[in-house]
Amino acid sequence: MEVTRRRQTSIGIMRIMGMQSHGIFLFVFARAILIAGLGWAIASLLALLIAQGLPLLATGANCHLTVGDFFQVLAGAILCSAIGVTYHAYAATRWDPMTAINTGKVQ
Amino acid sequence: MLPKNKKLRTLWYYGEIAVKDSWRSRMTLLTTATIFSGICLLLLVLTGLKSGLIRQLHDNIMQSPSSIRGDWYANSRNLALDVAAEEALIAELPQGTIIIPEITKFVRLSMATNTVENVTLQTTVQGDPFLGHYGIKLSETAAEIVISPAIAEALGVSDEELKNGEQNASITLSRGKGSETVTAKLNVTIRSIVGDTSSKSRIAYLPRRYMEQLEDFTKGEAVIEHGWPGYPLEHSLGHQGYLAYNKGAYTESDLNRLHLRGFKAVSIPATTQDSSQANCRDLYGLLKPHKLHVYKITSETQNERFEQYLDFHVNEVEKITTADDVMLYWSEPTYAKIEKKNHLLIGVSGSLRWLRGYFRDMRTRFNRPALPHVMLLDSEKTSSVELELSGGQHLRLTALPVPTQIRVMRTSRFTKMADEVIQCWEDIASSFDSILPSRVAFFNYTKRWKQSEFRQKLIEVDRYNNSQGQQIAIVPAGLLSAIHRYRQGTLSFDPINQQFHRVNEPNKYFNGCFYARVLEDVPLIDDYLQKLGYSTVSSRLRVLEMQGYAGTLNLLVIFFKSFRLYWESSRPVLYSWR
Repeated sequence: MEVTRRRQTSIGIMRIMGMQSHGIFLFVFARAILIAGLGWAIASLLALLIAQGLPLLATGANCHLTVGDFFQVLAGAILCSAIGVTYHAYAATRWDPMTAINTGKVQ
Repeated sequence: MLPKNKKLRTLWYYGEIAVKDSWRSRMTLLTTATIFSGICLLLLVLTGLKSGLIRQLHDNIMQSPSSIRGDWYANSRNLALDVAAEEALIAELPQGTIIIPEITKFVRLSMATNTVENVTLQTTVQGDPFLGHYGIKLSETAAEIVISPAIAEALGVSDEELKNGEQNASITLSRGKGSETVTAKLNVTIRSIVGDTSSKSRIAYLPRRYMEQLEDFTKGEAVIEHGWPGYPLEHSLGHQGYLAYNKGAYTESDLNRLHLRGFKAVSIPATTQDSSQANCRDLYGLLKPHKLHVYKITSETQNERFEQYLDFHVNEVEKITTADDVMLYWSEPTYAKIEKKNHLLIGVSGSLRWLRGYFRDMRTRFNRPALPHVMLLDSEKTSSVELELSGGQHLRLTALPVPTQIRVMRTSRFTKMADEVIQCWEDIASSFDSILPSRVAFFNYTKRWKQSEFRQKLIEVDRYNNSQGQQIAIVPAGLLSAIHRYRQGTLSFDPINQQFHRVNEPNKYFNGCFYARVLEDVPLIDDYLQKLGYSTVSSRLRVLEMQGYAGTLNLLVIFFKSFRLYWESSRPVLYSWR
């Protein structure tokens, strides 16, 4: 959502330059998936550090992460992002290029 | 390397634009990704903590093999497990389940110098998790024993000595019946010492195969592999029936009394034409001619082939009637080779009382039913003879001399059936000191010849008869009965101890324990056994409690994930409404 709002001008220009509507959809969608993947990677790194350090901080605490857990969260992240962005990516494909450029400039 | 397909190439370009645009606005992207990672991190840590907690509980419970162990008790005789029933049950339980029946023996364990009394010997099987916990894997076939520290101390054995060399010991188990005590000895190798060093428990573990053999021995069965004898069968050996000799006929009341106790009395009249019945009347010529009333007493449900065996003492049967009758144990005579010569074995045992006056020779009967003796009527001195059983087994018997000879001879009777056919019965007749008239003992075979061939055949028959000497041997009734049952397959023969014994029946157990492969299988096995009707004691509740914790935590994680999904999905919609 934020992506499409901030990139409204770019999307308008890309449309004027001849990008097809499914290209716009893919553009928005790919960015969302990229964010999900990147967010998951950062989270996984931090989670591994926490899992290693937790027993030192709290005696008896045990954070046991399996490969399955990581993949489960990655799948969840991609799914959430995909569901979340689908409507908005679709909406972006419906924008009038000139209106999008003007709205983007005003914002 | 761009894709050749136009559509794919376009998609490639769009993707490239998205990546380049993302890189251009990398700081914004990183900020968004960091926010996103915060949500992912929360979920990962939550999942990790849940798994960690479950794992911790699992590890705690798995530290002792007792967690995966349960006890089972059969609530009825039908549920008792023998080896076959156990295998069938294991096939229905989760893979890797082990069932160990409760076989406990109190034995003496001794080494060259020291002996420990009252050792509790328990069963172990291959893959027993209890011994596995101590890193011990006993082979089912090796006679190895694992002992507790208290036994090791009493025997003077240490771990170091076991590591340095083989330590042998012997297990001694006693079986008693009345004043008779029989001992079984099993040589074993001490494999290891396990258990709490502070405990004074004298417990040892022996593989199931050997425990089953000790159980067989305790039950009174013979274990030929180790030369352990079974119970002598004379105590409870059954007979096909009884022969009752009575001075008068049984009254209706006597017959009714026998009937009420499940006996059937069939009269053998003096005028009988049936040779086998006639033989019963005078015991193949052992009795003088008499006018006594003779009855063959069998079980009411017994058929003509004497398939049931009665183990009542003759005195008990005599007491049923009010008549002054004398009973003899009776089993149908049969052939056996003694010293490679064919003999007709006749079992004559019982307390004769007034019947002894009817015997031609008082020695031709046995007081006890199962002495390993035989009377060879043509024998003149005591000797040891071998009776050939089937399967190449030989029973050694003491042959008692009977100087008065009973000669057994063959005769042939011929009947002219028609002009061209003559029927010949080859009979065996016995004579006592040549006093007895020739008497038909039994029919050996019947043949028909044409009259023209008769003379030649007669010569052949005579030659055959002369070559096949048949003799009567008197044996205790129990021995005859045992030979019958050995041939039927219900008794087997122990050549080492020269004893007949019952064919070992599979041991049945009414309680024992089971080990699940994994903790999660414990409730499944427990439930299944309860469904079959067994009573069980296991850590089922503890496992279910743990699985309950896992379920609650899983629910918590699912709740957070659902919430996040809802939030992430609804945000764009909320924005678009602004």
